[in-house]
Formats: sequence, C-alpha cells, structure tokens
Amino acid sequence: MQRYLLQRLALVVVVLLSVSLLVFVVTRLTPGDPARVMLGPRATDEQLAQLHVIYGLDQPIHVQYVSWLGHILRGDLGESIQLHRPVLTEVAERFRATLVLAFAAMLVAFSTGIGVGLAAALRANTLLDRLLMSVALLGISLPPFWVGLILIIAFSLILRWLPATGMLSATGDGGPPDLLAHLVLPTISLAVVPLAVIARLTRANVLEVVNQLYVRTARAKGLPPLVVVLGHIMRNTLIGTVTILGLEAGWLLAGTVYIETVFAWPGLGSMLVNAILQRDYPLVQGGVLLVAGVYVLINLATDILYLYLDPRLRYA
Amino acid sequence: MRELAASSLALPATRVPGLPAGRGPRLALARRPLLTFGLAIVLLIVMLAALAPVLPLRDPNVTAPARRLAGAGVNGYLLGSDQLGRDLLSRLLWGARVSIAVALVAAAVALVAGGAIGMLAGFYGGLTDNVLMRLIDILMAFPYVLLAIALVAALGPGLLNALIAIAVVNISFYARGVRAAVLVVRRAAFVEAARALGASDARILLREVLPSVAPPLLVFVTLNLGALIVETAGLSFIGLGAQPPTADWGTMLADGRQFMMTAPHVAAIPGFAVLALVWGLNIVGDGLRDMLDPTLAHTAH
Repeated sequence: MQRYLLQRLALVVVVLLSVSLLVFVVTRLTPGDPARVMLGPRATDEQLAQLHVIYGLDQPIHVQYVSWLGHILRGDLGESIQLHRPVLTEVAERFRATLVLAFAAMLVAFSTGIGVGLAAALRANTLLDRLLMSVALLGISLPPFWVGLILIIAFSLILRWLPATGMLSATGDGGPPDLLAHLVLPTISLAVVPLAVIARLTRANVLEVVNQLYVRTARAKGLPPLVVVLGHIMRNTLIGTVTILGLEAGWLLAGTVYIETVFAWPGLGSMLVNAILQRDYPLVQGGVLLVAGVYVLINLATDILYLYLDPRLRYA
Repeated sequence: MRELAASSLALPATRVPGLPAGRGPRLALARRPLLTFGLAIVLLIVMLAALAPVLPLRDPNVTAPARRLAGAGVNGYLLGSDQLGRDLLSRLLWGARVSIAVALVAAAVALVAGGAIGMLAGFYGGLTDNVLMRLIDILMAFPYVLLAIALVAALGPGLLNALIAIAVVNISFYARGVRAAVLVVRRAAFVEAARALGASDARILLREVLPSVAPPLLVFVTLNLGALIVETAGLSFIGLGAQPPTADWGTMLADGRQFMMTAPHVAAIPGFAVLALVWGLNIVGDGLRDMLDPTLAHTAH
C-alpha cells in the first residue's frame, strides 16, 4: 500500500510537470504579440522591444520556461500584463468566487442526484422510475450555457425575481442573502447536467447491490428499511459515488468557464476566457495551472479515498 | 461521455447477444419504441441539415435590417429573424450542417487515434501499455473543457482549431474504452486460434480483435457524439469556435444572448436544436447499450 501511494505521488509530480510544460508551450504558440496588444497598433518597434525585455519575451523559449518554472516553485506566478497586478493575487481572488459556485453546484447535484437515483432504483421499473430516468436522460442532454440563458430570460428578465449577473450587488450590503440571490441561477445551470449523471449512475449502482444476498438477509431478519438502505445498500455504492465525485468535481471546475461567462460571475472561468482573448499569457498560465493542479489533487484524494473505503485494495 | 468514463468502461465485448440469430433489425426496433423514437429525432435533424441547400430557404447570411428580431411567423420568417434580419430557420439548418460535421469529424479523429492507442496498449500490455496509458493519464489530468480552451487559445479561434481541440481532448476517452474492451478479448480462444494458425499481430488486431470490440464502440461513439455537439457549441458560444458570418448553433446562441430582453426566441431556438439532437443521440446510445448487454437491460428497464 505504501508503495502504491508513493507511485501515485510520483505520478502527481510527473503530471504536474507535464501540465506546466504543456501550459507554457501552448500559451507561447498563441498567435499575436502580447506587447503589441498592450501598447496598441501605434506602438513603435523600440517600445515593443523594451517591453519584450521587461517581460523576458526576448529570451529563447527553453530559458523562458526554466525561469518561469523557477518562479512558480517560489510562489511567484508573475504579473498580469493587462491588469498590472500579481497573477497570484488575481487568481486567488477569482478562485474563491469559482469555489463558491462550484461547491454550491456540487452540493445541489450530489444531494438531489443521489436522492433521485436511489428513489428510481428502489422503485425500479415503475412509472416513477421511468419518469425520473426520462427526465435524467433529458438532463444529460442539456447544454449548460443554454440553460443559463433560459433561466436568465425566465427568472431575471420576465419574472424579475433574481439578479441576472454578477456575484454581489454594487449597491447592496454584500451580505449572505445578496450572495445567495446571485448564486441561485448559476448554481442550477452548473448543477443540472452533473445532477442527471449522478442520478443515472446512482440508480445503476444501487441496482447492482439491491439483489445481493446480504441485502435480502438484512431485510429477512427484520431490519428497518431505512437501516437496510443506508447501512447495507448505500454503504456499498460508496465506491461508485466517490468515482463520480472525483470526475464531477473536475468537470464542475471546468464547466464554470461557460456558466461564469453567461452570468458574468467573477471567477477563474470568466477570467480565463478574457485572458485568452486579451493574450495575457501570465494570467492564462497561472489560471490553467491552478485549475489543473486542483484537478490532479482531487484525483489523488479520490484514489486515497478508495483505499479507505475498500479494504480489499489495501492488501492488493 | 463522462458517464461512460465513470462506469469504468466495462463495455461488454461480446458479439451482439441481444440479437438472437434470425431476427431482423425491424423486429428489434419494433420492440424498442424509445430507441425508434430517438433514431427518428436524429434522422430527422440530419436529413433536414443535409437537405438545407435544396429546401426553399432564404440565404442564411442575407441581412434585412428593416426586419430585424422578427417573432416566429412574422414577415414570412417561420422561426423569426435575428438582430440583422437573417432568417433563423435557414441559419438553424445551415448551422446544423456545421455543428454535425464538426462533431462527426472530431469523433472520427478521436476514434481512430484513441482506438489505435487503446488497441495497442490493451493487446501488447507490459511496457507499451504502461507508456501509452501514462501519456493518456497526463492528457486526462487536464479538465477537458479547459484543455480544449487552452488548445484553441494556442491555435487561434476558429472552427477548424476548435475541431482539432475537441478531437484531441476526446482521444483519452476512446483510448481507455477500447483498451478495456481489448483486455477482455485478448486471451479469448478465437484470438489464440488465429495466433496458432500463424496470423500476424496486425491481422489478429484488425480481423479478430477489432470486430469483437466494434459493437460496444458503437455505443461509445453514439453517446460521445452528443457530448461533442455540446462542446463544439460551447466553444463557439464563448467566441473560440466558428467565426462570423458562419452560423453554427453555438454562435447563434451567442448572438441571441445579446437580445434576451427584446427577442428571447433568438437565444432559445438554437438551444432547443442542440437539446433535441443530443437527446436523440443519448436515447439511441442508451438503447444500443441495452441491446448489447441484455443483463444490464434487464435491470435497467
């Protein structure tokens, strides 16, 4: 088991290094000179050259990478070309907003998704099951950004119940009720597809164990239905649930790119899209690196959770 | 697609046990009304898209500023017009051609590249498997939407680059799926028999292994196509895919977004189109999976 963990950690290091290399190369391939974007079309060659020196853009590309990596390892992600502030500060601020949104969506998707999946499985092949699964199939087919637009049209523009954009009102006190009101629509848009995926997988997972002998035994010896469901059925679908948790957490982080764009949510996703369109290399690199790093850590946590949940894996 | 990845891709690599010999496809469809329904949706949309050049439609790019943002049925616009007075129905059908073509080509590229990696890794095992799958692990270490966006950012916004990005991102899913399916059959008796007869590795892979992993792969492609259509629309929606004046469903959504207040139908209609096609594909994928794996179908329906 220790050997497995060490191997797993080594893989994390390799993956993070590859990610950093990929991010670096990919952003350097981008057409367009960031110095020209900054200075505008009337910049002289001298001004451009000066800026290239300031940002190290005149160095050979492998020199740029090594120096960039060195700075990152020291916690210095550079300075945003467009915003003139440290990338780390900007990214950290944006990441907080994204975490709020992703966490809210995850909460909604998992609580509702598992509930729906369980209900469908326990009433398998009934009208309720068929109805829930038909809705779930429709749910996994929804384009999340379109759901966002429709929700804005319905609840912000027509009914005027909820704000359409932003995270906090400019005029409001910025308290929890204000945040909550802004959170509702983006959370639903982001949660709807994972919710349907989780419902379908939970149903399949429950159906796999519901006819096992130990479940029949538990029922036969007169345990209350709730104890059977929670202690015997749900407990043995945990591995499957953790798998989904890892996958969906990563997807939610990336899915925020679309949802944040639709709702002008001040998170990493909308920042990345803007940074790409503005050719703000340092900001793109910092943002992508952070998201990819978090994603890798979520996957690592998932694998360690497996070990904890499934004793068989510990001795394999 | 994510769902397939989550179910560990234990795709049944058997030869269509759901269809006993002697029963034609017609009977199989008659017994599966839902599958038939999904197939009908997909075929209808594909046919309308294919027939767009011969249908009596307005030019999708001709503007008519005087008749902008017309409602459905107004001024002879069956589905209304957009902010430049362009016919929404016409743009929808011409846009379908773009969206469907991009998804199909991206799926083909990802299937061939990912399928080849998965077959080699699964068939040879050992070092080959280890090296190939670690590379795939690295590719999968990126949240895939982010990788697609980073690639498009590098290559520059545009439909072709969006296609490349989406294809690359999906290679890992095919590689893993095909590898899992190949692992199931590589020790099968018919593979051993072919080897005993002196068949080359290439021949065994193409003539023995490939046909036996093809049915589950078909399910995989069908479900993946839906995801690809959403991904393509997403990239176009945030401005990294199709560029004006080309209409695809994503750019139409982005156009409509600016006029949600005055003309909500401009944003609503292309979204319905995406939803209908992806829904149809998912129904077909689900139905095919049940056909291929009767044990699953038994518990699932």
